[in-house]
Amino acid sequence: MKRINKYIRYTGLAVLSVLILFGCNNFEDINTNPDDTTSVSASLLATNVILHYTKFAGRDGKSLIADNALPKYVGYANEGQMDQQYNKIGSGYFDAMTILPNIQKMIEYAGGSVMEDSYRGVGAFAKAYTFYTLTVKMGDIPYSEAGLGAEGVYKVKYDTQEQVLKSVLDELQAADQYFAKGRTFDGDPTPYKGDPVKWRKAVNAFALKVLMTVSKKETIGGINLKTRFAEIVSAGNIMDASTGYYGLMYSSKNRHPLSGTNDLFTSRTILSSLLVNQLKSLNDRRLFYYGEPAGAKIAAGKTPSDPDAYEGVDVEIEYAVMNTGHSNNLYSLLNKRYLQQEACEPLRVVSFAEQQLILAEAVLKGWISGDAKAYYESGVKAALTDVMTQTTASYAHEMPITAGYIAGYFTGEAAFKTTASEQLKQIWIQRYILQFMQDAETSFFEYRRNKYPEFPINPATSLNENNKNGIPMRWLYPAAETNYNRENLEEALNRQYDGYDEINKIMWILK
Amino acid sequence: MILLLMVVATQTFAQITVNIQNKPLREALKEIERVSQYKFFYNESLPGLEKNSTLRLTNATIDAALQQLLANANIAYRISENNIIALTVKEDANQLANQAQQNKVMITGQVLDTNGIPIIGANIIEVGVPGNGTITDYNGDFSLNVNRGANLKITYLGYGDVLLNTAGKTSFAVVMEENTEMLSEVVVTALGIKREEKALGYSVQSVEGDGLQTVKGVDVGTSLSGKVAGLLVRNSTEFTEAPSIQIRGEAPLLVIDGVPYANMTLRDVPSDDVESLSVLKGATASALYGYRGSSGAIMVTTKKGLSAKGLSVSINSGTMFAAGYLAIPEMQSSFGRVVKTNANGKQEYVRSGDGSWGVPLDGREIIQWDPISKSMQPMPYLPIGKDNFQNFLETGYILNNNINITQQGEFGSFRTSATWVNNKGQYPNSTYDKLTFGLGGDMKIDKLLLSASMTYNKQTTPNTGFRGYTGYDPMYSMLIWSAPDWDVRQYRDYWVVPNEVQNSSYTSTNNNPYFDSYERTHSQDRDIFNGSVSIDYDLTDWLKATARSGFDIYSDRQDITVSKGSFQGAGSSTVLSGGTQVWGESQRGSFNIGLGRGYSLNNDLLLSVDKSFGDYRLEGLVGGTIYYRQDDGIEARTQGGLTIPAFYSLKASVNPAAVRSVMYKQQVNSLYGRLGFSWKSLLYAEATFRNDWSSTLSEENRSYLYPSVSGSFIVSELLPSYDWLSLWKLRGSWTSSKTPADIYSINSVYSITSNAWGDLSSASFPSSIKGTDVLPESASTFEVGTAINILNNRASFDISYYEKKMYDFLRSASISPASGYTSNFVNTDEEITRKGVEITVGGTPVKTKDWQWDLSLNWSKYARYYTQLDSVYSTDKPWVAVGERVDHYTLSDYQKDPEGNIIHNNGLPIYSKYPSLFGYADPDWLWGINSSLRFRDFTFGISLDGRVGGIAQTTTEMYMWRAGSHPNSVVPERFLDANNPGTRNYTGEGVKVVSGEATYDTYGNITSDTRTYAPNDVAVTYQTYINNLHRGTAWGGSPSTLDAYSTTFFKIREISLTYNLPAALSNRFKAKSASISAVGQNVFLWAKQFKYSDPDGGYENFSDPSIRYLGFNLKVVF
Repeated sequence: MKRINKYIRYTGLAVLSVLILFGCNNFEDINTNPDDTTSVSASLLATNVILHYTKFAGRDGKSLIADNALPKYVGYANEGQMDQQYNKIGSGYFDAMTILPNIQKMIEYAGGSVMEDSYRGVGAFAKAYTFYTLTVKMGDIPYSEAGLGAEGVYKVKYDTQEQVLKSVLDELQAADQYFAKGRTFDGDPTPYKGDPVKWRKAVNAFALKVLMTVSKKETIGGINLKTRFAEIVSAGNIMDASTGYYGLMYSSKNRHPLSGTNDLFTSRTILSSLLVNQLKSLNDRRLFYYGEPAGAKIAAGKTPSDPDAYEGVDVEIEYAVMNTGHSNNLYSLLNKRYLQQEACEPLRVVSFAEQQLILAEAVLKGWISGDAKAYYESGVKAALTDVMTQTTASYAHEMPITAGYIAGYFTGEAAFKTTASEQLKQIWIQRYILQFMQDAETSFFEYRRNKYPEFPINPATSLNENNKNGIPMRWLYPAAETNYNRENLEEALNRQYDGYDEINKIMWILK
Repeated sequence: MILLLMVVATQTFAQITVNIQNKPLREALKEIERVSQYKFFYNESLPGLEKNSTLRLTNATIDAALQQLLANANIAYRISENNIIALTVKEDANQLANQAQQNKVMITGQVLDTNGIPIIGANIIEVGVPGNGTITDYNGDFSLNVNRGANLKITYLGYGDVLLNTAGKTSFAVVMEENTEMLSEVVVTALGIKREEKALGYSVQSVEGDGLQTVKGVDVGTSLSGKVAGLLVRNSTEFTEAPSIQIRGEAPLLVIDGVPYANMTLRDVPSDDVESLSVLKGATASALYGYRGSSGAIMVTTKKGLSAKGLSVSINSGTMFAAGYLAIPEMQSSFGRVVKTNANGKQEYVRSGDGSWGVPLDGREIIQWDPISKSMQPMPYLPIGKDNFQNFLETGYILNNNINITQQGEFGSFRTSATWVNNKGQYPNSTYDKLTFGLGGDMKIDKLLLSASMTYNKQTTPNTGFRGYTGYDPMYSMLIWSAPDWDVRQYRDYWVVPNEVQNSSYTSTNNNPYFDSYERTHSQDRDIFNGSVSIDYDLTDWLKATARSGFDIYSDRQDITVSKGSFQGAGSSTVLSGGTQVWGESQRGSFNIGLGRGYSLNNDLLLSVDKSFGDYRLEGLVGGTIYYRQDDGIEARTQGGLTIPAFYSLKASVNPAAVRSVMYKQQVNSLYGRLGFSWKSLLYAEATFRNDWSSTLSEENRSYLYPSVSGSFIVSELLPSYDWLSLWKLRGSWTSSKTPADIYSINSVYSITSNAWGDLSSASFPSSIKGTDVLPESASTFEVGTAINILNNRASFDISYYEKKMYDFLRSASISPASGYTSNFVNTDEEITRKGVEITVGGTPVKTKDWQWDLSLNWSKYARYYTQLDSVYSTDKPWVAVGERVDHYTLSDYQKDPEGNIIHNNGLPIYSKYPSLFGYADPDWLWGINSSLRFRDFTFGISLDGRVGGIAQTTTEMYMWRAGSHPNSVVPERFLDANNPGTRNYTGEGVKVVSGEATYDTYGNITSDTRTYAPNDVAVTYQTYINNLHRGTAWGGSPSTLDAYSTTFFKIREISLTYNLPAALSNRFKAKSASISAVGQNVFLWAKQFKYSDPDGGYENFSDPSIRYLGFNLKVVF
């Protein structure tokens, strides 16, 4: 028995100690996840960075519709009143700023490679695009201290909108220079496929858009807007008809947000009368690509190819009335291709068409010299060509856009008018039509700047409780800022909005 | 049942067949005990026990056997009803004569307990005369020949000794009192150490297995509801969902026979295999389990051998059927859906599924979907589907059958147990089977005790269903976005085009419910195998070595198939634990498969010491554990639909299938020790330490110590002995517990998305800052308590107070995303203290021979409070402050005027932009009452429990309001709206702003207010109003105050009426015991605010109807 005692005692303890020693050495391996990596490449990060700000960021199809309800493209007769349709805006988010460490890592990985300049260009553009979008929504935002969390800066100071925009313009200028030196790079999900020449053109086209958006100002942080605009145009590295759009192509793998839905959220999206009437008056066949004929009109004998079969809804009418009208088939719904096709149209973030229309306005403003009419017509033609070439004509109710149609477009209301104020309105309305189901937020920013096209407002239905006769002017600051960055937020609010975060307050660029 | 009848048929009268040749009488008696159900009681000094005897009998009665056996012995016998045979010395005439000569006297008497019940088998000896003694018989009577004036000592296990002087008296009535010390309960504590309850410095409460084996649901956890103070069991009404169990607000560790398995849950333990459950309530109690026990532990001791040698077969069959509902949603039946004018100018209803905000169901002619002809037909519009939901439900049942066989031999035992649980849910195609097969045994050879057990579990269901709004629960399409204008009973034929187009009243949103049950399914198939081996070896009489190894291994397969033509995908459901949510892929069909497997190993080696020195006793142990667990899994989902309808295979994927694998590993090595000290039975003290090394922390921080101390002081030992006070104990304990980081959580890694766009993959830098130098989370817990037993343990009272101060929280603390990161993984300075009180009161108010009434009550309360904040990471809100509760329930309330009226804008209520405190999510207190009343062979048992306080959103009712389905939404204004389209008839109660404006600071406090008000006079449609009034979604965000309900409720959890067959009856079919019970589970519910669903689950998101189960239970032991 004694022997067994010893045997058990010593073996047990020996086994235990061996296992413990063995186990400890093994701990690093045990805590390493084989499905994660600590080392990646600049191209993998570039794909992430580009998608981060380029891809549609909303959660689902409904958020795309909400984006389009704010600038009055659509009315929403589904599950409940849509706030945006009735002039209510909620909070913005700063989550987009998490792009900054990714940009930094991308540039670190690119260091020393032949593609380094291109990736630096991507980084600069990504940063400019992200902060431009945030500042024009909210006003002052963190910029100079942003993205320094790894260095311990958790409570980030806000910069003035002017400082942010100046930095945006600087970044765009830097991006232009990087791409000028750049080589074709890997990991680009856009149709440009890493071509630095096309990227450079898109960057400059976007810079023109930024400058025009803040056109109420003369200078920003010492930058003369007019001069900067003219410099970019005269340098000549801007988009041409063959550059194509900067954006993303949808496919069966990357489907359009509305694709395959026909449900509680998306099935009853009605075109606004604001949009439909403009298209009708311009004899614009995009009507047939954007909408479906109203059932009641078809029942009354109209054909789907007849513009009169299309009827928009006055989006300020009461929700219940709109619903009743919808039930009685009074209105044109969103064209079926959006719900049925996987890739009904690409996402165009920066386009030649938009650039040309901006140039037309710049001529009228005297920022550059040139032929406003030519810019106007080339912009509209490009927009129509995009629809012609990038959408399925079978959904156009037998009214397809053809080269011949485009050539004959500029008659009647669409012909470039004679007075500058009328011409401006024509340019603006074309920019408005252009952004339907695309970058609808831009149309909202344009409305703030131009008050055109005139949005319908009804104080009896408005959810903008503090200004029932007006469209709200900004997004609120992220609610999370009050939890984790209150002092800096309060400083920014005191500086701009008398300390009160409210949607009708006027930000610096609109003053 | 068939088996049972066979057993009854073959085992009739208890007749004895023995063959004893020349063996001592003592052996012969043992042999008779072995072959029959009889037990002998006799005094060891009985003359003639060693005398050889012979007995050969076949199918004889016990009387015949005893008469033959005792013929030549001076022994009399008496057989009692419960098969106890008392043997006493025969008194014959000669003897009496002798006594007189020898100056002896015959003493007779009766021994009773304090309730007047006879004590059978009490020992009576004459003091100072070795060998002279007897025992009491069935009536408690005894007689004994003693010297004149002798002293008698009467003893009986569990009772205090009685000394009797016989001088001058020959007949006595003796009353014996229960001995408190002897009765003090033994409980199982950490590492399986059995200890007297009074020695413990912390709170432990035991539940006997018997109490869990009469009313048997699917899970033994449900039967624990309300039985233990501080134990919260949340019983979901969802099919196959296991109850969630919390001790003092935290999820405990489950330990089965000393092994803390990683993958076993209470679901995997059949109630019939439970010998007892021991709930270790705090971190101190389970300190020896290290971080895994930092929230307490539930220790399950499974049944092993028998108390006496022999074979036992036990059958326990429970059957319960659904007998109505405690809570079930109802739907209005006045309104149908929206009607439109179709292309032909006719009235036709809209088939897209958006609730019932349409025309009245008044018989008007409407073109509707006819499920029989499968075409649109004009039909009168009537509420033919007002009972659709009830009509769709099927009668559920739970069968819980167990058979187990135990053999106890001289050197060990062997037990095998088989359990089959079959649960039919309330929806079609919802069945669940659970098979458990267990083997276990032990062997004791000399100083070696070897025990081993293993259990195999298989759990399968063809369709566990889909839950909640975001999973598209059947309620979603039947009660919410539906109207009562179609009759579900006509939709059993659910295809229009097989495998492609369903026969549904709707064309989107709402699946045909039968289609939904059979063609959109989530199947599960889980196998779990666990086993343990343990060896105890007594190195000396005070030193013992134990080696124990436990392992479990599981494999889990889950499939989700969604037929082509389904209007809903699988929503937030997953096929792998922690897997990807299966959104989208509706209409086109989809197939998703998840394979998960894993195992855990737990190896312990212990040396324990137990030595007494006079009044001092020292106990201790040292040991080590290696714990390793690994989980891996793979999931794959078809993309873009199925190439062939109803071909559910990854090969059917239109686009390349999405595939993902996961692997989690962790090892923890530990060394620990315990030192226990006691002095007399007055003072007990104990200290433990445990040091863990966890693989989930960095090298510098992976080692951490986990000490505890506890003590107990038996005050009653110091007090003069009072009749009424049996035990009074004070106890106290303290521990510092640590919890290491989760697996991989300190790793800063890129996440890779393959095919992020087109063929390109992408990498993203983590949005959380990872500090690798983090420490384990810490908590320090102290607990004090006292227990008082009075009136000979007839009543008891126990109270505990504890505080658990938690600090060094390992948090992904939110920070402003402007920092480039959304969170920072750090130990925050925030400190939260949980404070709680638990009270248990028990007693036996009535106890007579025929009657016994037992009652126990428990009550507990806890809440978490901030005791320190972090200047950087704590949320900057007024309700996040030192002294405030942590479980704050906040929402955006309606804007109100100074009088509290809701402010309206354009006739609609408006909400504040700022969240405010509405209440608290945790219950304020919990209570439970368990009672049993026995009258002779009948026992009635009842258990009630409830919760008070705690806020939860009612997702079901909120959506029923918003969809126009809520029964209370049928109001006159709604008829006016519906009958006069375009009119607005509802004017909300409240005010509107006439002029002025309010401004707010960032906390939401008003900084200036110039508003003036007038009564709201703007009419809107009822639908618009209700949709604004009942704001909130299932997608996050807060509900309106109207839909945030109190979860206060109480339930009659279980009732049972058991008839224990008298031995005479059960003997007829050779059974040792048998009982039959009428049982009920989930019998009655009262809820303060929840009317249409059961708040027991703790949250409410389309909770399935709460089923009342009634049935019976049959238990036979052979």
